[in-house]
Amino acid sequence: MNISTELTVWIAALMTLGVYSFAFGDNPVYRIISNLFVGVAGGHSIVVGFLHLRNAAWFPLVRDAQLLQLIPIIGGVLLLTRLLPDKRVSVLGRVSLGFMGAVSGVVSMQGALETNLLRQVVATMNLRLDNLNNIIILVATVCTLVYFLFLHQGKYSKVINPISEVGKYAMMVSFGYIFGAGIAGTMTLLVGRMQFLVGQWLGIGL
Amino acid sequence: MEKRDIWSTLSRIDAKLLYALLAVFIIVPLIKPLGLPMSIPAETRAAYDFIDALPDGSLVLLSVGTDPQTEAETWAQAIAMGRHLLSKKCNLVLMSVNSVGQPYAERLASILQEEFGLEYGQDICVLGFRAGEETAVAGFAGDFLTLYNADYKGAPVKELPMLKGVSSAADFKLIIDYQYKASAIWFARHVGGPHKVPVIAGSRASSAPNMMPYYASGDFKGVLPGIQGGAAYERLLQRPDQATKGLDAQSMGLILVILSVLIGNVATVMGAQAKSKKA
Repeated sequence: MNISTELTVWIAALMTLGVYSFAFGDNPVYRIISNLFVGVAGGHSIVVGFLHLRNAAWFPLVRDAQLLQLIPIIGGVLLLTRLLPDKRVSVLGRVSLGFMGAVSGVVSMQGALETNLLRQVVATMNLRLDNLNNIIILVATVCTLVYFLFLHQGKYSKVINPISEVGKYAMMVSFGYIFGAGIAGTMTLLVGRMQFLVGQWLGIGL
Repeated sequence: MEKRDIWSTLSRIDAKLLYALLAVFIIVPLIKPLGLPMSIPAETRAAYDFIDALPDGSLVLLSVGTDPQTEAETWAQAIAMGRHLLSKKCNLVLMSVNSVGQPYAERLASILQEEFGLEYGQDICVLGFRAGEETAVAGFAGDFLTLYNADYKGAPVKELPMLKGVSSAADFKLIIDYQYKASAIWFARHVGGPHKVPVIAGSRASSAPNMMPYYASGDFKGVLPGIQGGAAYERLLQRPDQATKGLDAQSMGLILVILSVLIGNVATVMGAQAKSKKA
């Protein structure tokens, strides 16, 4: 055993153990540490945001006379008006919000049609049905898409209902896989912290 | 009466006992690796083969979106793939699309510089963080040098020797993204498609199912799913490290979870049957 002598490692280790004390019930130690984490995360975001604003907008405006930087700076200030109680002023924030929403929407759409839809359809169409996996993918994809056809009633129901049932089970299997992968990811978080405690803090084995 | 007590006891196991068992199941493999069998996912092997086939000296972008939540899964991936890239003498450009990823990018650069004796600006550089998430990625794709005009230290990017002659995102031979939200998909949309730059995704285990359709369609040249992907990559490199050791612990933890679920469900069913028989 080679216990660490670094202060930062000890602080991180004791805080980790403090958070895990929640296993024995809610307690003041856990609350203090979790609130401390929220505060530190918030402070870190503020510092990063300030530095980013300074380097990306303020310095180019002041040092390099890039007057176009005034536009995002004014936009940011207008956004802050949302915090003001006076509605005649806070309504100005909608300009920035609308601009941000529009840009985000356009940026997301750019390439989404090709990457998220067309290439997926082409890849499914080009599946070689020479192995069981590909056959399952094709059948599950088609049946799942049929599930979302709202033609279950009337003359189509005898054809569509059985196919959509298969699609329903395919979705259940995929949701189960996603849930299981989520649990595995959560377990990895615990493993990562244990690696830190055992390896870096106590210096055992690793 | 005895059987009923057993089922009742099993269905009411104290959670603290399970927590203690979980700690033991995880800590023991970390101290003494069990060497449990491990398969290499096809998509991880594809990533390895793609990097192995890169020409020596290729310019590669690493988007480090690692944060404390994903560190246990993507950090080991980043170290392993960084070692592989540097064994091929690739030039690495590190950036991040989230503010918390910036220190991880700096730390990764520092570790690789020390291990391989790299010169900053010549072999490796850190461009830092730009706000905007997907918009920043679109900005990188559209006008890389305007958005990233300075590295994380403030030095002009155009003065970095390794980036002389680089004018756009299309000059990169590969982009490897370590997950932040859907960052790999952003790169595939804005850089992979329009500029035809290959993308490899290092993702969390919980996000890996969402990445597979993009791997199947060819938008991703490979995917590393969580700690399993990191461990598989370390095995392909023949250099077991943190991910390999952690995978044993994760497997044991999951075995306990499965056993607990099975025992709990069996106990509940048998207990209900015993109760109804008595009634």
